[in-house]
Amino acid sequence: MTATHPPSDSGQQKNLPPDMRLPPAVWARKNLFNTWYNGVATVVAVVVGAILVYYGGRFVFVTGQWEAVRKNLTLLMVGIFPRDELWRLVVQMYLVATALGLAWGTVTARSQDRAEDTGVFARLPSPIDLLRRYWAILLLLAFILGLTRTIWPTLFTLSAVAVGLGVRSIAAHLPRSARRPCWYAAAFMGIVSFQVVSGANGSAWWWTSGLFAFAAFKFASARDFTRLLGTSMVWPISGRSRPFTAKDLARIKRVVQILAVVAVVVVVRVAYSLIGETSGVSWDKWSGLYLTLVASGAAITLSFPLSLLLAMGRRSSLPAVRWLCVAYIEIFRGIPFICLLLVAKTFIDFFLDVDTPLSLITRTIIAFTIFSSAYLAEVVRGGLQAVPRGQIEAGQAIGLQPPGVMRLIVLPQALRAVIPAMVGQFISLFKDSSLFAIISVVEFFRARELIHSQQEFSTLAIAETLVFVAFGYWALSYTMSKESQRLERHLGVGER
Amino acid sequence: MSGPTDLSGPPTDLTAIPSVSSRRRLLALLVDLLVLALVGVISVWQLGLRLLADYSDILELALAWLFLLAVPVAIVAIVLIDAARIGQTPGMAAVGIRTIHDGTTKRVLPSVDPRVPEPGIPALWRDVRVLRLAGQVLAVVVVVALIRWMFHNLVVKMDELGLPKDFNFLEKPYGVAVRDAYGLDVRDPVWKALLIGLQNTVLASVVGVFIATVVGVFVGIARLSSNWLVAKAASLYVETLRNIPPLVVIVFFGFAIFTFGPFPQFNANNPPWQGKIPGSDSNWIIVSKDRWAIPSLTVEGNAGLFWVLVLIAAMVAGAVAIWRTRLSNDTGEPHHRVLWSLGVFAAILMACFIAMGGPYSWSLPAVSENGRRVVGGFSTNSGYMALTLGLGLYTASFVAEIIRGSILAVPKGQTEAAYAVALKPGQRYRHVVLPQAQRIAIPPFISECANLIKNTSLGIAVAYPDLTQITITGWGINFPAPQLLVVLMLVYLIINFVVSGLLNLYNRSIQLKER
Repeated sequence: MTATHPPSDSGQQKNLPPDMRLPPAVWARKNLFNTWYNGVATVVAVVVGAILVYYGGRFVFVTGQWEAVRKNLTLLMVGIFPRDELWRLVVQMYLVATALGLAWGTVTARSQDRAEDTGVFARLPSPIDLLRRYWAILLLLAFILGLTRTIWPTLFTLSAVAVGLGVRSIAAHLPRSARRPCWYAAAFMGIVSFQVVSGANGSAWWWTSGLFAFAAFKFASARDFTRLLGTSMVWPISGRSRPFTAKDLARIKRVVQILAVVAVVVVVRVAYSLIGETSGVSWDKWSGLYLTLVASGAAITLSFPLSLLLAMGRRSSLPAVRWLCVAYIEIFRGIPFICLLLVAKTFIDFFLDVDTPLSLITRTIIAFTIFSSAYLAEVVRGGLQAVPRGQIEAGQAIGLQPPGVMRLIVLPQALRAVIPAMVGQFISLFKDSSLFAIISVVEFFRARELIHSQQEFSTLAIAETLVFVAFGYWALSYTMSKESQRLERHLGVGER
Repeated sequence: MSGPTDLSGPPTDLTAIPSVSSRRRLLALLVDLLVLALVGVISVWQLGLRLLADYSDILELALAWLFLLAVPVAIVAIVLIDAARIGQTPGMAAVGIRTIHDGTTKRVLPSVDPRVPEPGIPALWRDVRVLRLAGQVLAVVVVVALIRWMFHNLVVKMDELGLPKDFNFLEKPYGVAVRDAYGLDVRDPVWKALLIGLQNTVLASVVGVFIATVVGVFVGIARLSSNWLVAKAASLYVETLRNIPPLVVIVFFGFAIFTFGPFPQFNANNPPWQGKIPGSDSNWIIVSKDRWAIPSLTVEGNAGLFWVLVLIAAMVAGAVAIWRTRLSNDTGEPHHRVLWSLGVFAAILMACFIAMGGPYSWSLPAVSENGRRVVGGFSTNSGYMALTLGLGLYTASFVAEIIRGSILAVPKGQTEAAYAVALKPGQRYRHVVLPQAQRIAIPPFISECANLIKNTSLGIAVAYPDLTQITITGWGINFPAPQLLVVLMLVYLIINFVVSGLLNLYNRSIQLKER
């Protein structure tokens, strides 16, 4: 090989047909010992790697005192959650598994349909693919379940996974008309699952009626439905005999939408007052890994709309609006998250003129949302900037108003482009949730500190619990980052 | 009025349109009057309420008035001004009459017909300029009012709690000893303690950024190595560290490695491990659970003069670099400006150092008489070590990704062009790939540096007295939290702006100059 030719990539190996794969000795000479310095580097890497593997393996399998983790596993998972109420979490696990199964099945069915429409069939993931994708999280699950003292958690988890997979395979074969109801059902189960834990209360009512109102609104806006109404009903007010014009239909639609939303909200309200307040565990008590997951999920959900507004504001042509958004984004990106958490802990109540102080977790989630919306806004702004100007002009050319251009043309392209970046942001949020520990919110990392505040473990197994917690964070973040890379390839971002 | 765009057969001749019945015009007038009357009644009523209410603060009163008056005044103004300007009012719009007015012709139409072209002068509530202005005023007023409201609540609450609302506390004694701050007395004022905290933050940031850059560049390049094993090891490093929260990494270093790790205790009964310089009794390093020390430079009498000379030498070196560049541009001979300027710089400094009789000397660390402290050298605590190592190695995983990504992002054609002109691999990297990769890498690298600086506030987890830790201790001993927090946020914002400003300047200087 001369210097005037590019050297072959190591990736070329993959492209060769199987019978032309290099024998190990040749491969090693090519990839490990092709120059003298690479040979030295290989030897050094092998020696260092062997030492690390030896000590790491000895730590994990021989010297590690995993008893400390085993005894405190419940503490790490759910923290100070009342032990009598753990059944609520089990019920939630089943509900969430069902909801996830529904969502997954619907997505699968949709991509199947799309494949049939376009004639391009995507290969369905085989069990090996799934294992390759989710090995980290499965390893974490195996590790946790291997440390449990009774058989029940293992049985519950495995049966929940089985339920999820079963629901998925059912949902994947439902007809097209069932897609939308499936999504609503999944969302409803998500809400109900949290109500099972926290008990039915005011906020649950808001979420439920919001979901149902949205569903009713979409249903009432459906074109077939409106046409059906328009042609079959005698519109009582107009009293006209001529056929309905498009304008009349639009009016009918508007009225039906309003009626449907109001009716649904009233029905949900009545249903809730019939159920009444049910008992539950208030979210001040939610803690451990469970809180870490819930809090990061809540923060990303709440900060998404806020960040959308901020990003659009920052791109606005109105200078005052733009500067306000810039100030918000830059200030909250400029200060460490700990500062915000400290504000949340000490005096967020001072600002809000509330009679009873908000619970610490509520305050933390407020701070978390404010913080993450500033970062997410920058991600969304990147997407907005990536939409070519010609798209906006095309939208204007077909007579769309600015909100229409934004909603129908810019946002779909912008958000699609930034989905991987948003997953990346979610990972960093998930990691930042460990800072809750500093203001004594008992999340995953703080739960570990609680282990060592017990007399028995005060100086024992420090490294073991740390490694366990680090592994927990690592497995979840790693799986998410792999998924985001897969999504990036799948969406073809950067290729078009 | 008719134009070539009227394709759907619009009523182009305005005079042919039947005029509006007087009944509808009366109706429109009635609607307008009703609106004006309603606005008037409501605002008079509200104003009465506000005037009767007791306001301690003139600004608050002004704000209440602004809120109250802005909307009604705007409505009245729109109705009156538009009536005078183009002869159209909201009432007319409400009953479906529209005025066409293009500066010369004025005509009232019986309906809002979409086929009729837009009037030359739009009504105020449809005028984009007015709407833009109104939107901005509204946004500012709402935000100012919100901030004002929150600030008011804060002040009321602070009065209730009896907290002071000024910054005089900065002069009061801090009252708590700060770890490793031997120069700080307990009676020293709060601002001095905060300054020590800032100093610690800067120290941790600088060393952290250094570690992150060195390790990150190394790992990033290793990931692209043609050696399979090295590339895999580097990607293992990156994938492991960047998916663990920095707090966990720092605490791991602080507790699992230092506090409960394999190093010896350091107290009166138990001396630390001391690395002796061969053939002498002095140490080059001291290692223990919570204190490490290395030799440092000490300053002799004429060190100040030496620093001035360093500055002069740097200027001379810069001049030499410029001279070499010009020479190279003029004559085409290789410039070697880095070699030349470094050589000149080193030569001048050597000469000065020897001529001045060595203004610096080494200070070697030693264990003190009582066996509890380190005397001499540069010594630091385990908190600092854990923070800088943990943060540096954590951030290095991100820097490595940036380096790798930016090298991969250099178009393949560039590398091929370098092959085509027969550059050696080293030259290819130095002259073709790296300069272009650098341009791509700098902006994300800036934001990683900013992240690292913000993350130094995690030092609180390993008891490192950085700015945040000093502040939190401060409000633990009843200094007013809001003011302390304002100071803290301002300092971080300033640091952030300075760092990103400097690096952005650098970034701008190396970016491609386009037309």
